[in-house]
Amino acid sequence: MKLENQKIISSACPRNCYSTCSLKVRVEDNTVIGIEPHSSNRATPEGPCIKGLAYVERANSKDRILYPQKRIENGTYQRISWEEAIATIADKLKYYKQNFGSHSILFFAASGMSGLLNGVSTAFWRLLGGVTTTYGNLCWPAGLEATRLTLGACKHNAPWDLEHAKLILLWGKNPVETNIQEMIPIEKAQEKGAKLIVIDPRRTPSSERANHLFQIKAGTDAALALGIARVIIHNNWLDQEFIDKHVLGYEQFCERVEAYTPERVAEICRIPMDAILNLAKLIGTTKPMSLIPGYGMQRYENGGQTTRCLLALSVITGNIGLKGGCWHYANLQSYVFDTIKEPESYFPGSEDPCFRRKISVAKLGEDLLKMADPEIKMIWVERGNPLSQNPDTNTIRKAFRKADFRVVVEQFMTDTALEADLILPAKNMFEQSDIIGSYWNPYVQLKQKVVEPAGEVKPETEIYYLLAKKLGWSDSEIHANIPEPTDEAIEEYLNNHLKAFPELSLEALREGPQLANSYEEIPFADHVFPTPSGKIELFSERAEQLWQVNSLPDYVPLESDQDYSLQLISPNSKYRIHSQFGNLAIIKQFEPEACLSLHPETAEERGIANEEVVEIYNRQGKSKVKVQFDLGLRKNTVVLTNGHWGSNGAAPNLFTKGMETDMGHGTAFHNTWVALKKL
Amino acid sequence: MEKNVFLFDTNKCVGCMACVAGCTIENGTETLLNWRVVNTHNKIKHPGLPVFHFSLACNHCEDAPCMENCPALAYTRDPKTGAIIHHAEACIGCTYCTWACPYDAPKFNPNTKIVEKCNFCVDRISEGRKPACVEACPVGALDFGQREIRTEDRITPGFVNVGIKPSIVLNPLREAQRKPQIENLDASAISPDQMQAYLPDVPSKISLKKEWTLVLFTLSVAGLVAWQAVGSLYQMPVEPLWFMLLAVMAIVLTSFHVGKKLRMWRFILNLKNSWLSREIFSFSAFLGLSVLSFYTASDMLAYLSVCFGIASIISVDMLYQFLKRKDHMLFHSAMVSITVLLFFAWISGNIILISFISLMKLVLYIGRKVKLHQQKQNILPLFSGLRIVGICLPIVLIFIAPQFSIFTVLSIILVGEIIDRSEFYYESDILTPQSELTKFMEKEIRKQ
Repeated sequence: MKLENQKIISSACPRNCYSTCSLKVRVEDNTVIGIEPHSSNRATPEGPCIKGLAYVERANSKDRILYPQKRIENGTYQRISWEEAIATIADKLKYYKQNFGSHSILFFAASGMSGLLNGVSTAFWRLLGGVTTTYGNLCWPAGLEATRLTLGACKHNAPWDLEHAKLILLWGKNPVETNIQEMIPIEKAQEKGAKLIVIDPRRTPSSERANHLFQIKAGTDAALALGIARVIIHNNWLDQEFIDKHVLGYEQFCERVEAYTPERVAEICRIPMDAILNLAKLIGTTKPMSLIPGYGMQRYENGGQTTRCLLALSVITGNIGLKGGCWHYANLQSYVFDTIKEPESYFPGSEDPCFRRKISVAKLGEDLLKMADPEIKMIWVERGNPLSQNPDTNTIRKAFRKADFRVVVEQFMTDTALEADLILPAKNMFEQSDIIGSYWNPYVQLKQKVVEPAGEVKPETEIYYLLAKKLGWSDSEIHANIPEPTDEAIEEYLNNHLKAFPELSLEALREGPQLANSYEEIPFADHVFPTPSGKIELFSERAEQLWQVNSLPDYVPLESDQDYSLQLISPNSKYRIHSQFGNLAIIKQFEPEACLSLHPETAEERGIANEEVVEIYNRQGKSKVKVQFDLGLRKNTVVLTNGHWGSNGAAPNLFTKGMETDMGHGTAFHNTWVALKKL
Repeated sequence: MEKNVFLFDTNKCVGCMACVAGCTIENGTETLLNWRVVNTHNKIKHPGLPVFHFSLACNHCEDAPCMENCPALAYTRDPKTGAIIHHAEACIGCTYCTWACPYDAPKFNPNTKIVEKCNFCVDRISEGRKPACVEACPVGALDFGQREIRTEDRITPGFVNVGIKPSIVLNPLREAQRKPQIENLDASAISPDQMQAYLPDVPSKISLKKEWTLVLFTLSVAGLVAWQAVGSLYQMPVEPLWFMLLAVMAIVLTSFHVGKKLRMWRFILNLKNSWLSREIFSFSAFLGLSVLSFYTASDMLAYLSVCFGIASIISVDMLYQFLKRKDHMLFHSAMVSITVLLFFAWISGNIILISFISLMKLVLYIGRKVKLHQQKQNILPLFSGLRIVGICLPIVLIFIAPQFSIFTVLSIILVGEIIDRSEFYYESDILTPQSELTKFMEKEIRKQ
């Protein structure tokens, strides 16, 4: 290696992932050749996960889309020039706007790449006159809203503070696969004698590190939380002073939990009564306790209320605003540039009136099909793969095919790209600088441009710039909204956002992650809660007003499906961030195809052998899939990990229904029931 | 003395595979030919046992069996770092090191037809950096440093310990994590027998499908040596043409087993340590001297050739010393040194020797089958029957039908020997970290 030709540049991973690792990128001859740890980030000091390392392949992959392409007759694609691509799209935009109104165009963007420059997309569509967009979110709004209603804001202790906890509760979270660096402070705490408890329907790699695993039935978490609260209250393992000073609705909450006797909760959650009593004692008598809920369990119809029930445990034991005592749901402290923070930014009507027509992300397929006056004629997709990631793939495919013209901006031939009439090559994280935050670590980071775009790739900002020019918009209009396609203009755009934060200069960000002045290591330590009452609201009037749910935390049993006897869980895998990375050879060698994990007894009852290929089906769809025995699962619970492409076989969203969560406009696609048939 | 070592903490490793990816990227290895492998205990998740991992590449052992046994001297130790370095240009691709290493570190690459393995990132560590796998570990489970390793540091439950002083220190699982505490009212107990059925098969590194040429080669060696021995000791001249044909066949067969045929001369470079070198050398000398003896009619050369023949036979049996045998018997019926005696007895027609050796083979063979049966292994009754016929029928024939030619008799014997030797490869395996973990798990299940 000729080290003198190499550069090492600080950057950060812009994926929709807790960790948001700082990285050092090794570059030689305009090529990314290595990803190395960046120890300035206290949350990710040892470097990224396997996906972060896989960027070396991803950035240089032969499978990458490098040129604009149009669909030709037989469903294959042909390379076209940028001139042709821009002219075609501009013509279509004009045509649909003139004949059906600009709201006949759907702009769909998801969480594929984060950054401030994504605002340019919105600006473009606003200038066009406003288009149909989406509201809600696939990921976490129910829990965010539950947290906001209760504590007033979504922030938590610094990730490294976990090492001060004496009890750590991973409730439905599997950081080994979704937030691997969280295992560092967990291990440090354990080394100092802390206990780790995992509550999960699955035996996960994270539960291997635990002292106890409470393997409850999926979707019954709220009942367990209320049952634990009852034991804690009856035994007076409370922080009474904290409750008296800072909590609203404690008395009503006490009444609410009365019905959740250990006997009843044992029956609902299917764990022994003694286990519930032990767990309650641990939670009630070990302080500080950090409760780390996952996002999976709030993607049920009862997700928001479930989250409120769990959070109540941190509240009544006084584990809020403490060193080592915290509710680790989401830490939005680094989102300093947002005018409206999540979850409110997901609510319809939260933005510009230009985007008055919004459809629910949760019901994308169904709502698109129903849309009239005007119908959706054109669909633009960027930073997303709705054909694999939104619920009910078959309906979405139908809705996409109903439109006349589809543009997909992508790096690889995803299931969604395969539906496009026109594919535009998308930039990767190394080809344009941008500023990103994290919902776990507290840093604001600069994801730096380290190489020139490959092939004929143009960043989205440049695509919009060219389109705006082609559409004949005035220079002043363009200049005010869309940066010119130069590195200087991009830096100016970013600098404009940084103006209000002198501590966050581009110069400093180029060196590594930075903290905004507003950063608090232990939020809520001052006991200031920005709720209507100024207290932690176990009783929340707003919950009832906004979402028509009970003003107290509540367990709302889920409906099962009589026709399909197996509950499908679709957790995230360490090999993918949603539908990204699974196509790379370095990843694919470990997981070449989608497999359905299930307990051998569940399989044997159906005469199914290990590794047999069977049909999995329900009302929404069907697919062939290879089964894999897993003794760490509950009987009649089957697992298909999230984010597989059609080419991998079965993907979970073939079987999910498009529904919203009880609050926050989240997506309730985890209450899914399927059946298996031998082939 | 302090030396460079890998430091691995079982409590921190979560099996994320970043180390494997880090290695692959640094060294440009092909997918599925990773130098580093994450071995997992209890992948199926038996409820009573923990899941844990050993991330392993080459342990750069003090008594490195790959280097010791490589016939071509393709391995050296870097004196500065202690790294065992494999030299691609010297490797003949015989894969003998993949048998010798109990850590499964050398990997045969079917595309390049030679072996490759972890080099401790010798360039990086020489510059004071850590190996790429260590740098890639996102949770600090895999580290690198300078340590003195005591014997007691080498004992980690489930980890291969064969006394070759690997340069790795493993921190075993904390007591609290050794027995999972799982609460689930719907869980039912799983019997050890059921469990056995759920355990994934660890693919054997030696299989008959891969090694069938060795069955024929080793039997050819036995046949040739026996023939020449009878020829020289009993003054029953060998047919040079047939002898040489058989010899050529043996050489062709063994060359199938070599990735780089043009480098086959390197086979004899490590006479000092490698039984494989000794085998190839003594067998070559045996062939050369035998042929010379035919044409010079020199008794001295013939006797000398037999001496080398005996050396080659001993070497054949010795070079299989690493194999893990399911019957755990020190002597077994398929050993080439016994087979050569059987051939010798039959070709020379010494009825006492025939009876004695046949009986010995029979006892050893039946003993092996009994052992296999006790361990619930398939004893392959049909083949076993045929094999026993292959020993007994020729003796019966001597008494009831002595008119049969020696050729017919030897053919029957050969069928039995082929079965026996094939079963030997079929039943043999090589110790690997994953097979050791599986064995450990089976023991733990029986304890519960």
